[in-house]
Amino acid sequence: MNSLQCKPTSMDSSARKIKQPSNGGLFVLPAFCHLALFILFPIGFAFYLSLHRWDVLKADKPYVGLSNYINLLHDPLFWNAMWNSTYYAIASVPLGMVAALGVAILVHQRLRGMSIFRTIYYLPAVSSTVAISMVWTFIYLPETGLMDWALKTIGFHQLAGIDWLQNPLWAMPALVFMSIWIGLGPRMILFLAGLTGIPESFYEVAEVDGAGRWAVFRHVTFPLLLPTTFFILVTSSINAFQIFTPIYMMTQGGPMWKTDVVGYHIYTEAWRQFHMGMASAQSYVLFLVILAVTILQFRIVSRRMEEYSLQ
Amino acid sequence: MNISFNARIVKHFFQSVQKALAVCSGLNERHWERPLFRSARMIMCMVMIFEAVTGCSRRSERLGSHMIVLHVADWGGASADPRFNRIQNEIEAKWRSLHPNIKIVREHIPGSSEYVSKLLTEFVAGTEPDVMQLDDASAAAFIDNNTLRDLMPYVRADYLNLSVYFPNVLNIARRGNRLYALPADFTPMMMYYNKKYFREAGLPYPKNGWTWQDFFTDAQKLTVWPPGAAHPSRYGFFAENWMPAWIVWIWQNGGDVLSPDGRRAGGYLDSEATVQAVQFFANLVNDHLAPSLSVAQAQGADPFSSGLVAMTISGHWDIVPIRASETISMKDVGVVGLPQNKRRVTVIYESGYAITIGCKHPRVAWEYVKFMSGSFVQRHNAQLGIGISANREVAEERRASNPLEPEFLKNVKYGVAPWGTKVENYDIIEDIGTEMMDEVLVGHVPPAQALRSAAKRADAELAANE
Repeated sequence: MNSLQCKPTSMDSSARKIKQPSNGGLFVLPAFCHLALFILFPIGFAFYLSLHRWDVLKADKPYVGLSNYINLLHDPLFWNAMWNSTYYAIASVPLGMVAALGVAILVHQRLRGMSIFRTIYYLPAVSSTVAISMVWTFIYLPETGLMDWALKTIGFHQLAGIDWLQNPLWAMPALVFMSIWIGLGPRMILFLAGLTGIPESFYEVAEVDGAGRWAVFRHVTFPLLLPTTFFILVTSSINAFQIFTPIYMMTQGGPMWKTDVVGYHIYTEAWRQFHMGMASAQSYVLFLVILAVTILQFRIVSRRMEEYSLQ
Repeated sequence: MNISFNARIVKHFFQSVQKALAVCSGLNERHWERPLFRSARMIMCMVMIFEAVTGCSRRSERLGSHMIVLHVADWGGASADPRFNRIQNEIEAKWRSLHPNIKIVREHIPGSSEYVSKLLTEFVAGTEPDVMQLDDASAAAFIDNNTLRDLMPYVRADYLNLSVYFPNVLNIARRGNRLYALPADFTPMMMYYNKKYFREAGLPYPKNGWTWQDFFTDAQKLTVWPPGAAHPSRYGFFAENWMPAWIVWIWQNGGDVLSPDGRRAGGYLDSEATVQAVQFFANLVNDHLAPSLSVAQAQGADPFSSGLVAMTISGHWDIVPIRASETISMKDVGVVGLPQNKRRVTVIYESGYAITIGCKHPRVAWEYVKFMSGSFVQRHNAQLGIGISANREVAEERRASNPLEPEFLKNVKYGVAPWGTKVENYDIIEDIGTEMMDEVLVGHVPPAQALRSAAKRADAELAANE
């Protein structure tokens, strides 16, 4: 034995004991069991289902390989649903983010009673989506709805009388408009947190340099909010592709499949038609689409963030 | 349907994953003995044990040495009618006095499609109830998949007289010599009309045997347009895009949606008689004699009792909100058989009680089914007015209970069971029908074109499910 090596002390041995992975494993075991039981197992089982013709009550559940995925490629109603989800995401996410940023900047002002406005704007986030959907169904009524009355009041008589939720052209825009209102609170809070994190000195320097309000927003506020914006973009996009409750409550995918988004389409495939295999295949395709969109967003935004950091 | 079946699935699944991972990563059996994979397998075992334990727990069970617990699924639950709880308590007290050693545990599942999907899932998980309320509109899904017991051996053993029931109602759950449920209550779909609105329009009340033309003319005269308004303030009829209600128009015109054996839609759903019926229905909305679909949807289930419409097609259950309504009183409400074109017909919606195949105490469950279908419970439930008792004697006793009852009883013989009693996946056909009507009413697609496309889709679905 090398003379420089010394006998391990009791302290060393207890330190080694602490480092033993089995102890740490015990701490994470409850959370991991929950994760495994309710997330990992269903994810894996859904993949298994997607490779079978799995009717809930039929004893025979044959292995069909990739045929569910192949059939789904040729299913026009599924791709119609995918397009509807994309339309919804492309329309609701940017509009919702712009609205939330605008409101966040407004409620960021140091004025008396501003916390009341922040609370009011956040209220939809703590309301039940089912209840909100019911209320908006009434708002969109063609003859007696609040929207009809508001449009007439501000002079848009040509838009009044539209049967918003039953008109194939307007049903999706009506849902997008409602989603902006529902998503306003949570997004506003995140933007507000981002705005609060921008040091005051940056604005003072910009003011000294003679920058106007727009220049300050463009060159100071927006670049420094980019991490927050990116986070909201990614989470909102994922949520938009998964929208279900308002569709279930307000339109059931109609009129004429114009609001039949993927989340609702999968639900009907699984729980109305009991085609669990096909529904699982559709879920995996939806997962791949969301993954691709998120990777694309990461690439684009990280490039923009690099550009700003270079500037 | 049982634990070993589920365990087999999990094992099969686990082996499939193991093979797939092995192919992808080059892992072999030695790798599976490593701690990470041992943990994964342990978790899988926990899942199976958890599933097996919870799976067992819902079976009929014994409490103590004599007490038996029966699990019963139904779609009932709370009601706005204050008498509801009292009546349910009286029924439960009676059961306890008759069978003190049999405890009933109820599982209320509101919502018709949720009821079916949840129960089907329970059957797969092996956690089904012992007794279930069976809706005729989804009866085939349960009967054709061997989830229910044949009740005829019990009927014969107890010499139960089945002639006490309305024959067309009893036969809903029959398959040849087998009987899968005892009926509880039912209703034929009828035309409700507001007598006050008829009087105001100077119209005589409709009578049985009236025609489509009579109905259309009445609807026109009952629709009220305020001066200069873009929409009527009151509509002649309530046209909801709900296939269980509008299918009767097709039947009245001599058409149907499926072939008699229920295996084909082509030639039926796209037949001339069906096209004419759908066009007639669409004209009611297009001519503003009925509210648009979103107005109809937002009105909820009952625009009739709120006074928005003068006529509506509904079941006996509509008496409950009418009684509670502040805008309409029972004396201003009339019912009549549906208007006919080529055939006088209506659809019957019924509920009964069935025993599941996995029930461990079928004899005990049979006592409960007999009790729920028997005259004591039927007399009590009939007071609520939700349905007509399937027991003819009780139904006759109720004839004088309200002025609408004689008309309902008069039309029972014209009632036909819905397709859901015979075709297992009829829900899908109803979805296709609803989407077709959406195309006609909202997209203004010609009925012939929409029905052709719907028939093709329906045939594809029926073929896929064979």
